[in-house]
Amino acid sequence: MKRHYVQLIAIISGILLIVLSVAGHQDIVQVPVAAVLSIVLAPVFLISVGLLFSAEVIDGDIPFMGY
Amino acid sequence: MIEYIIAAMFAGLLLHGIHRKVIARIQGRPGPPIWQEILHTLKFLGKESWIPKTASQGVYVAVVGISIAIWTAALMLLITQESLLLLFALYVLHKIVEHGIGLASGSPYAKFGAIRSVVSAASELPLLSSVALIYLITGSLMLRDIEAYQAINGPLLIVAFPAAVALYLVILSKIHYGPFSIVEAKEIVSGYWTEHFGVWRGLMNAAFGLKTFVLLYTFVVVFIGPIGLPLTLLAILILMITLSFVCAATPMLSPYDSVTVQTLTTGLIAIYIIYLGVFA
Repeated sequence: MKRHYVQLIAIISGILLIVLSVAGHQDIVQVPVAAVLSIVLAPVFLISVGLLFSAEVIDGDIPFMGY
Repeated sequence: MIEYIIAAMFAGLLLHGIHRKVIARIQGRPGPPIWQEILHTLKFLGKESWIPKTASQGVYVAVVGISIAIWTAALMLLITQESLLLLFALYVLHKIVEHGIGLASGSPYAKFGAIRSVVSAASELPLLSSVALIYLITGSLMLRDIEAYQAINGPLLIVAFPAAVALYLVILSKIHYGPFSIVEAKEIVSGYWTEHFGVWRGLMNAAFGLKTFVLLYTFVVVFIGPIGLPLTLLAILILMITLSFVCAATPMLSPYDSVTVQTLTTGLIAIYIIYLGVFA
């Protein structure tokens, strides 16, 4: 998987998680809705951040499924 | 929400570090610093990662995401004070992770770990009796109702002590280095997660940290009740230290002994439940 795809996924999911958190606290979005969306987005965010961490070592493509 | 997830992960990893430290001190060793598990996780995240050729690629990666999602969902249920039944359904889903991790790998050690995970399904039996007894006493499985019950009648730890013992046993069966930790015993290297390394191992570590925090938090919420955040964290710490004492002082049981102990405990609590339901 190309590094910039992983970066893009990490940034988008990270921003969405922060927005959901703020929206949940401000009652813009109902807490259960924010919680369910966070459950879906948290693994995506953490896995992409994790892959970015390890990408510093291997420099370039990130080995992922189908590599 | 993400702030709770990250904080709970770090707290869980810190609890793992305290667990290792307490075990080491009891065994007369200095032990690692308490933040060792956090460093461990960060170290794994920085390591070169790939997926072994002999592994089932989809499952190998998916179990990591599922593991994070399951325990994130469990944390959210606790925060929103939803049903205890849903929380325990998520706990049982964790079995899928254990099986998946082991069976996705090409390593025979990991497969042995997965098979032992099937055998150790008996660890869910005390959970069943615990939930049944809580329902029998409080008349509800909603966390907010259980908290309200405790605010009026005092902690469930006293009234439903056998249920607390059962849940304690369940948590003990999921803690590292415990008497029931047959799925990751040293004779099968690291058991079901032997072949997960690098970023996958780091994320699994983080998810398991979250799992430990959620299970201990559940115990405090269900059996001690609403006592405020600082006292809840203190109760979680004390609970973790007691678990560490048990782990340090108890040898790891063989797979069948492990199942026997868990089944016998469930049987005893079932008798107590029948007594409560019929005679009390």
